[in-house]
Amino acid sequence: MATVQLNTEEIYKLLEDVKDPEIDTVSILDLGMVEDVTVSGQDVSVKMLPTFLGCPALSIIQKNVESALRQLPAVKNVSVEFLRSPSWTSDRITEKGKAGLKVFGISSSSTNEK
Amino acid sequence: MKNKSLKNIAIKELLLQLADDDFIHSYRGAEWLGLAPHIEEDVASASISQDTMGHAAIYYKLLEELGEGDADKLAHDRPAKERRNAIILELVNGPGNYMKDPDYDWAFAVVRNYFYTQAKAIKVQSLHSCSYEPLAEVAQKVQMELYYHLMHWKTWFVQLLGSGHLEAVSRMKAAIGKTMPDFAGIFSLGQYGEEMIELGLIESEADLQKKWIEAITPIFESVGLATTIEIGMARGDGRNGQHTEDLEKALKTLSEVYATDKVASW
Repeated sequence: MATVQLNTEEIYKLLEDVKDPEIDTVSILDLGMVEDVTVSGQDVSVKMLPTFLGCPALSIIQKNVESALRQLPAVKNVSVEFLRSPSWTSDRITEKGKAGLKVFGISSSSTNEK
Repeated sequence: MKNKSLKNIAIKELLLQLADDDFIHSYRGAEWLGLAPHIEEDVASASISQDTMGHAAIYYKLLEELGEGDADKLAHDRPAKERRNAIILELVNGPGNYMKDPDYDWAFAVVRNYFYTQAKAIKVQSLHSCSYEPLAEVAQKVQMELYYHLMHWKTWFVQLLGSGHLEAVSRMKAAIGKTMPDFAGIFSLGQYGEEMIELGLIESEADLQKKWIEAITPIFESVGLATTIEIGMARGDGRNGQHTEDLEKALKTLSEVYATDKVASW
């Protein structure tokens, strides 16, 4: 039986297409929400950080991550977990993410976060 | 074995207190939606209420992980006598109802929100060194969000009291007079308080209260208020299930939709 090897690079590439449901100009990767991706056989595990604890979009983001990754035929199971630690801060937003936020009308400064 | 079960009880009690406080506080905040003094404030305070509900949700989630049942059920489906929130947080915003003739008191909102947020900041700071690791982790994130909440309510408190406007000042003083007699309930750790302290979950009531007074004293001085701060539990200790009719009514309203279909996935 032929096995297709999954690699994390492919996964990250797909995650670039998953946008913040409330800000469609920036991906969850550029927001710094993805803490870790691990691949084990056909199973993918994505560990994420909520931007704030009361974020109502977390379950939508989770579903969007799952359906984005299932596009790969080699992917069998996707598990998405939101971690309690470390804490997300705006320092995690990439330069590309900041540009995306700006397009949406949000200016971000990395120094205003406590 | 006995110690282990006592430890579990103490952790669960503390989580229930934290969760129930934030839950009802967020609910009272949400009742202001559309009624706050101006639109910027409406957006800001609604956002703070949403954050606060997020804090309640994560504490309920920790309880769920400890086998206390579904987080939604813990939030919506427990009668008043099982709630651990401090009584001061359950009191209505004012006469009337948000659906009909709300005559809410913004001064009371500002005072209660500032006092509670400052107290919560001190508790959350203490939880950084909580011996129950998941709670210590959550406390880090809560504190980051709380920074802005505290800044917001402190600003209102100082501006209204420092305004020199007679009505503003007299209403704020009346609100302080209304809040103080029940505010010690916030620091109560309930019947398992000693165990919580022994286990290194949180600091003592006296220490928390002392830090709170130290934090608000300079603010009181800055607006010319007397700094003899006396707080009590005039209406009882919510940590032990003592509550008012205000909580009964709030629970009936907030669980109305949940009660229509308890197994639905929202």
